[in-house]
Amino acid sequence: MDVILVLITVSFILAAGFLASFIWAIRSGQFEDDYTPSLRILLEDKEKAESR
Amino acid sequence: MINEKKDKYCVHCGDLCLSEAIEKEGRDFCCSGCLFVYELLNDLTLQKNYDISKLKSISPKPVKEGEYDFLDDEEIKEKLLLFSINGKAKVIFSLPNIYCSACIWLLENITRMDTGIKEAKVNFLKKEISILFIEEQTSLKKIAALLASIGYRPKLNMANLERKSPVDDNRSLIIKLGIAGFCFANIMLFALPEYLALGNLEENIRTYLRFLSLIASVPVLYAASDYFRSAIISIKMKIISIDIPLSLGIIALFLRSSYEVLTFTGPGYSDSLAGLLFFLLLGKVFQKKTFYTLSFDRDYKSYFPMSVIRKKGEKEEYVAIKDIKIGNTLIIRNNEIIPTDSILMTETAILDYSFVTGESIPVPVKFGEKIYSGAKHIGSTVEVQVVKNFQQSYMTELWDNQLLKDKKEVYTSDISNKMAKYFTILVLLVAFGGFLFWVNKDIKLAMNAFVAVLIVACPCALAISTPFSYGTALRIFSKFNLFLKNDKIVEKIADVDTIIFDKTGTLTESEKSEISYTGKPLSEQEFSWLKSAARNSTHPYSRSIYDYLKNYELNVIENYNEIFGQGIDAVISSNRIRIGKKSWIYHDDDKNDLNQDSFSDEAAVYVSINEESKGCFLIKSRYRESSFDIINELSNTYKVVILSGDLPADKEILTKNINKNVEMYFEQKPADKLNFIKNLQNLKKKVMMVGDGLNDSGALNQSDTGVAVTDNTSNFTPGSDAILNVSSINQLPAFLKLSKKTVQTVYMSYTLSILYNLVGFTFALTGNLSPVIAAILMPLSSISVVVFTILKTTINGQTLKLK
Repeated sequence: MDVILVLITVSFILAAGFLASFIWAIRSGQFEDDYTPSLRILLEDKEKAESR
Repeated sequence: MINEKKDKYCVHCGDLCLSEAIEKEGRDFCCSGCLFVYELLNDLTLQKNYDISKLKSISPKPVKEGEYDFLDDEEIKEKLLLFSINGKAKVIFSLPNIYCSACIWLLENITRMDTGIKEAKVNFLKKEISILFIEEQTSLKKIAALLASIGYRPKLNMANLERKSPVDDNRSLIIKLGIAGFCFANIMLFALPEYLALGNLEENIRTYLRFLSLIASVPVLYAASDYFRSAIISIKMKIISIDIPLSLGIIALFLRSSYEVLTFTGPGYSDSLAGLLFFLLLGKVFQKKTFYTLSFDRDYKSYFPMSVIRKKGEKEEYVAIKDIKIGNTLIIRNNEIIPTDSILMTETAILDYSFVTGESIPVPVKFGEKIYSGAKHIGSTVEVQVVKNFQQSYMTELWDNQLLKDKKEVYTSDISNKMAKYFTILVLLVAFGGFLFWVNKDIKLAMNAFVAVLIVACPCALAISTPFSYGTALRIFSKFNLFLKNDKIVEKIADVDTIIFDKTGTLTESEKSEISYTGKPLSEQEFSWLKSAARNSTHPYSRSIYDYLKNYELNVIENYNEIFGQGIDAVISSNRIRIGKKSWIYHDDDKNDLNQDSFSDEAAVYVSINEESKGCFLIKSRYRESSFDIINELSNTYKVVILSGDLPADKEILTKNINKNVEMYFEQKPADKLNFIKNLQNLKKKVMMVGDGLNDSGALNQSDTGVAVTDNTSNFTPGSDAILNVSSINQLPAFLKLSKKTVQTVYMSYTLSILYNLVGFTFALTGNLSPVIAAILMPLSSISVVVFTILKTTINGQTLKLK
């Protein structure tokens, strides 16, 4: 039964890792502008396409 | 005359090319500015721009030499730059000309036009570009000029200089919500075995889980830091606010849990603690809704440019407004604002004082007369001599008036704070009462009961009902084009008992006046001549005529002359077109068949073609269809007042259509409006001001709830608490009702939360508040309050028949 202690600890640490990445994502401003990137993707770079 | 010249449209901006069209590489350009951008893009092989879309309405004007020189000023630079470290600097420019995805593409490619720019990122909704550049290789001045030259003139006004780097509360709030949610979910998982196994859990596992819960509850204290901070502030200011019982509850929960876990006496209340914070923060996030495209905090400084042209000997130079000295000669072009009090140095000028006085008809000024700051100059370029510094000018003094300062202190929800006062006192009484009751019989039970009361009474339901109900109302309003500055405005709107309307632009349609033509019939050709002649004038009547004739073609004008205060004299295809005052068009001996008397209450603009009088355009301001209905409906329950800056020309129409209990005042200057509201407020009235123009800014600010009405929400609006799209002005009575109902909903949810607390108290006072009961009762009360307020407000919104 003791193995459950190990499992709980590991899962807790993993989840804490996700929390840390969430905080990092917010801090880096990834959610500041949720509209412009959706337009940016529509503009393909013609030059690259031609040089292919 | 057969001149089948095909209309040419500019390749760059899509505008019609008039006489000065430039041709290059088989393409046409309307001006050298457009050609310049085209060449620039061509050099950089960025022509793709022309495949993506026609960049309409972005016709660049050539950047003048030295136009942005003032950006080299250290003081201005320091205020504009977000940061400047190790030679790298970041600046955010507001570019109102961003319209489409092609703009993003072009703007983000400016890194290729100026190698000093390392990164350019556009925020489409905010219409901003943030630019990271290397200070040695380029400068603010160069970047601003570059942006202007490709058609995106940065908006630089006096208000930019006051903006501090934007503090982002939102980020830290979301982080805290994330932490609270993480802790809540984990602690719940750790606590479940204990609740489900009911004592059959192995001893070592149980202890381990309890410790883990306690560890996971430590970050929750960080998430609660805002509540502690504001509790401390309100204690210092000797105010009882809702944050005090909240903070007490949070601390009691944490200390009690630590005590139980560390002494191996119980499981603690970590799960309740984390759940409480999660719901509280969720409410805080919910109540915040930002409308990026709107700006609520504009004051007069937003309307003043940062620089102006100064005459220096024979040369012209751009100078920052703060550096203008008394005695300087400034050059003011069409549609520019007079930055500071001055004296006119040119023969005549026409000034639009609507910003200052509210009078929409421009005023003529003669040589040597004094001009006050804030006036907008209409017509050809004039020179003025400065007599006062910007800081002491009329506008600045009007605005820095003590009246407007310190008026709006931090506004916290009145209702929840009033309730919090009683609540806090009640909780402390019950807690101490319980303690005193048990203290002689069982000291341990007494302590338990004391802490349990603080825990269970934690007014979470009380604290979350306001954000959720106001937040929901705010969302409903925004669906119907009423945008509130924040959720607390809902409560303020519900409090209003007096409503003041501005007439022009609010009750009448400012742009679209009713216009009709009477007189001899005109051919299509003749109408198109009139349109072309009217196009060049900025007089409001000319604009109306131009709009009225918008379906006709444009002609090239051979000769154009605008006679001050009289009219327009233009020559098109060798035909003489005159538009203007009756006395100017018709000479005394000219007999015409128009009876002047029949148009007494309307403005008439007369026209003649080749010296033959033709007829006139009748222009009158048109009331919005619903204006009278709204006012009459509101006047049943509210005191309604109409304040107008205009002359009392419309008094008859108004009295005919409006209830008698509506008061009307005409020729009100902005200061009069402001004082009128102040007087009402001294009589303990809660005033809502509904107005549009800059001339209402002071009144909007002074009123308890200022509602700015606008045709287009992306347009500029004066500083206000709420922005209302004109199309929704007929919803105003429904908005007021919904606000009142929402406040009722808040009261109902308070009753609900008090019932929960009564149940909780009985458990707590008898010393029976086990962690399981707390873990059920507290989230249950929170969730039910959230569901209740959101549902109730949404249903209220629907039953009000908002269309």
